[in-house]
Amino acid sequence: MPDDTTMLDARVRLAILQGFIDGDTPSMATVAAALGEPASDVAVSFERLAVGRAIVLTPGTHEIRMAAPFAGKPTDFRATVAGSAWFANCIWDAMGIPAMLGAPDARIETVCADCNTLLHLDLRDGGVTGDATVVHFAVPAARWWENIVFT
Amino acid sequence: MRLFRSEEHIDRHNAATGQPRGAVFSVEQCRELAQRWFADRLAPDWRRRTPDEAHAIFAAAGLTGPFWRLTPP
Repeated sequence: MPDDTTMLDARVRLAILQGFIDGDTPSMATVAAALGEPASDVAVSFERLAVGRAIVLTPGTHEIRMAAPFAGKPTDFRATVAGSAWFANCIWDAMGIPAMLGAPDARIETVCADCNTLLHLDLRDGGVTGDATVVHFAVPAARWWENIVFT
Repeated sequence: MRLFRSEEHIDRHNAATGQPRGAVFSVEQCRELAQRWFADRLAPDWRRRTPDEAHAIFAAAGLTGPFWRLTPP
């Protein structure tokens, strides 16, 4: 049986993702209001979720920098599903947004990291079409969390 | 993890930034990875994957080898 802290953290994590789905980077205050929980409890939950690597906070704040697959700030990666668009942290996360939403179709927009050419990919029927591209992952898995924003 | 127009663009970018070449793979593999990695993210009882679970997902997308090891074998 999960304890109260674990249950609160699960609710907070889902409320964060739902906030993104609904259209904006959720704040600690909006999550607390959505759950009807004291902001102080939600603040500590944010900190636990960050320690557990479920989210990434801007250092020294309770502002959400990342809640994968969502990015808390505009990035070079955007996923559009059924007319709604979100920023993602990388190409993996951009493709993760429709995967998380159970959406078979999506458009991914980004740029070539070398020449800045605009690129798009269409995810449809289990396949990928669009611009000819390849994926490069610079950081080995064992070092992802040394600097997760760069990763 | 970023997208490039070709492997030549990866090499040019790495030469300009002094960044070593990492893992290069297809967008289809990336989609497979994303599908398996994020499909359960909205489950109420979601938890971070263990290294073994993560390695299994990487392998299912054809991503194997030392680069993809979260922990020493």
